[in-house]
Formats: sequence, structure tokens, C-alpha cells
Amino acid sequence: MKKYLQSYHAFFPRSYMKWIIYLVYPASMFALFFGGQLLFDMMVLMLMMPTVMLAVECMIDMFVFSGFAAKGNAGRMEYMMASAKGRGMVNRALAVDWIRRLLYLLVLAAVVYVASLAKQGGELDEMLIKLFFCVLTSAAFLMSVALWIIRVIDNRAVQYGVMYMLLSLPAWVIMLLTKQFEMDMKWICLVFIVLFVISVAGQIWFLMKKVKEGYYDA
Amino acid sequence: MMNIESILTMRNLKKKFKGFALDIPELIIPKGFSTALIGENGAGKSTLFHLISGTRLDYTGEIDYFQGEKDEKKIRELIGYTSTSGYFMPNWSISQVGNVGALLFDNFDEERYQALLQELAVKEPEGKNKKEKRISKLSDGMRMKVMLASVFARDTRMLLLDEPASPLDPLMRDKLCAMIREYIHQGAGEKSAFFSTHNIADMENVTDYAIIMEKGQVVEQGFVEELKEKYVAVKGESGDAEKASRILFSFQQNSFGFEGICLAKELDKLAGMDVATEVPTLSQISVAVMKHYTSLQS
Repeated sequence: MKKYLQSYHAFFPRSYMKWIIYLVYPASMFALFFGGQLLFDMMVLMLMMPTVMLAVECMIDMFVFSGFAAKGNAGRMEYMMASAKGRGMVNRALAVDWIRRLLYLLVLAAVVYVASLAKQGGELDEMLIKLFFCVLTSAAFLMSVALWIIRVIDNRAVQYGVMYMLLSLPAWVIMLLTKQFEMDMKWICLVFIVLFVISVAGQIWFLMKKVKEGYYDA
Repeated sequence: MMNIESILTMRNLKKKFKGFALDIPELIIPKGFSTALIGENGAGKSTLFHLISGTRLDYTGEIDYFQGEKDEKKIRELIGYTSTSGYFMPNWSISQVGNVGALLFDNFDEERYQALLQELAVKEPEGKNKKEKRISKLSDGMRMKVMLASVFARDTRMLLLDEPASPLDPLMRDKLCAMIREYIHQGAGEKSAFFSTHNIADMENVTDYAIIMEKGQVVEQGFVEELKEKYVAVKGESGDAEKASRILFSFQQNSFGFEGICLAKELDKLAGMDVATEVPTLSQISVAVMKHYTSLQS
């Protein structure tokens, strides 16, 4: 486990990034959710949180893995490529990064679910919860797509552009799917979960392939 | 070549790019010595270093490391490679290079790395300057010093340094030569250094063996002392210039006369001319050989 975390932390630009990712970021999310209840309706917060998380994850990734698999960036990987352990280190870092993100998504889902239950006095607003999970799963899928792009394009303007474009999508996707196709939101969640898993697995496979290609023509 | 053990033996090594081909039928790097790889830009020096370091794998041919070592992990552990490209992730700090080095290489000594950073004036002693620059904010010279610290902090058997002197100031080049000499000396015949350079004069005092490349091929190689016996520096009067130009290996005329490099075995042909001879420097030999094979128009 230590080796996995060390590999992940190797990509952090500064040691304080650990504090930001493991403390400041989750604490801010909690503060936003619980503090926000003083200002906003619970429903607004529930639908806003996954979108905020999508934005924060994109911002963090711009500092951690930004453009590392971009074309022409193999040179900056040479120190790792010269070692027999280099590829394993990249693989471990990518895996830990997704495990960390998945954990955060699960914690967010649990906190919001429990908080909404408490707010309704033990009675579940099923529609609202379903809507929340739809937004959360779609945000998770869009997050995986956004990070994929951020990691293969080494251009900050494009990276921000991708992030802004994707930010409004979760809400639009849900509205479109429920209005036009009258789909059950349970199925929408399931579709997004499947897409998310495929996208994350595909991303790790693709990025490792790019790293491997660095050993062949630059 | 004398009967000397090799640290690296390459056979039928071929690598093609668009408009360039590296083609080396056989090349032996002697063990226990410091070898310089010399050649003009685009001669194939960095390509050869990429193949040896294992950072490029798309080639044909055979590279025999450390007289038959086959374990890839062990080979990579024993080679200390620095390159001319980015090398490190640009957002890493100098200390982070040490942390990552310890993860990547079993033989990485973090304490030695920190000591080398101070020795090379990359980092001030503890407490003086806590804020560290990112790799991307370092000058080329400073980045090379960090690369050198990361390589010398490991217990390797061979240094593979791609143009280490180019971004360094004269003082640091002198220091680099001393570090390479010390490395070879400590190895007691077991450690070798193989570096490419354009700064032949600065690196000559640490060069035991020289390899000159042109257009992807090795055109000359040998121990420096042997090369200095093979070639002779010649200076003469203008009157003999035309005749001498047909004999000399490399020839240059100026308003006072001519000078050039002559193969020692051809020296007899200069008999009757008013010429002065002297032992050439490695730089003179290298330039002469490169001029002989280059497609660069004079």
C-alpha cells in the first residue's frame, strides 16, 4: 500500500498537495454541503455537489497528471523510463488516483443520502434521491472523460475549455433523458455507472499504452 | 584495439528514422575507462544513448551489457543515464526528484543525493533557503546538475551521459571531469563512463577512449593516445599548400600558409616540404575526422 501511495504522490507537484487533496478538498466539500444548507434549498445543494466535484477534480488533475501522456512529452518521462520500475510506478499512480476519486464519490453519495434522510425526518424523497444519483453518476462518467482529455492534451486553455464545457452537462443530460425518453432514472444511473467503469478502465489502458509507446518512436 | 574487456558490445545495431539511419556493425565500449562519443548535430549520438539506456526499444541488433548480463531490471539499475531532453516531470521539485529516484532505483542513496545537490550548488544548506524551485523553473545548467546528482547518487557500474557538459559553465565542466575521474577511480576497473560531447577540449582530460560518429555510423574510434599516434598535426608554407592538400586528411589554408591533420602513415609523402609537425589534440583530430566525413558545406 505504501508503495502505491508513494507512486501516486510522486506526481504531486508539491508536498502541500497532499494536504489539499486529503484534507482541504474534502473539508471544503463538507463545509459547502452543510454550510450551504443555510443559504440554499437541499435540492439545489444535492444537484450542485457532483458538479462542484467534477470541477475540483479537473483542477487537481491539471496540477498532478496534466498532459503527461501528451504527444511529444515522452522526454519528461525519461527518468522513469530509464528505470525498470517506471511503468509500474505510473500504473500504480493512475490506479490509486482512481481509487481515491471513487472513494470520494462514494463518501459524497453516502453523506448526501444520510443528510437528506435526516432532513426529511427519516422519510426519503425518492425522486430527489434518484435525481441526485443520476447527476452523481453522470458527473463521475464526465469526470473520467474530462481527465482522459486533460492527461493527453498539454494545453491549459484546452484543459479549462474541456472542464467548462462538461460542467453543465450532468444537469442537461438528465433533463434530456428523462424528458425525451421518459427513462427510469434508475436505468440512467446504471448506464452511467457502466459508462464510467468502461471509461476508467479504457483510460488506464490507453494511458499505459501511451507510456509504452514512449519507448518506441518519439 | 588492445585486449581489453568490454562493458558494452553492440552488434548490427540499426535504427531508422525518416531521413536518418543509425547503422553500427560492431561497437565495443571498454570497461574501466571513460569513453567520449563525438559527432556533429544529428550524427546519431542521442539515438545511440536512447537505445543503450533502454528508453527506446524499437531497433534491431544486439546490445550485450556487462559481459552477458540479461536481467533487464539489473541492467537498468547499473546504468546511470542522463539525457538532453526534459528528463524529469516539469512540476517536480528538486527534493522530489530524490524521492522519486528512491522509488525507481534500488541503489539510490537519498542522503548522497542531498549532499551532491549542495556540493554542486543546486541547493543551499538546510535552513538557508527552504523554498525549492520546480524543475521547469531551473536553467538548463541547473537541470543538468540535478540530473548528475540523481545519477551520481546511485551505485552504478556505468555512466551514460548525453552531452552533460553542453549546458554547464567552465567551472562546472571541470567539476564534472573530476567527478567522472573519481567515479572511474573508485570503480577500480569495474566502472566505466560513456558520454557524448561537443565540448571536446573541456572533456579531453577525462577521455581515455574516443568514438567519432557521422551520419549514424562510427567513422573513427580508439584510445586517445593511439589516435594521437595515428594522426599528426601539420603546419606549412603557402607554397606547399596545393601539394599538401592532396596528402593531408584534413586541410585548411589561411593567409600565412596551411595547417591540417595528416595520417601518420602518410607523413613520408610530405618529405621535401617545409612543414612543422606536432601531436594533435583530441579536438583537432575530431574536427578533422568530422570534416572528412561531413556533408556540411565549408
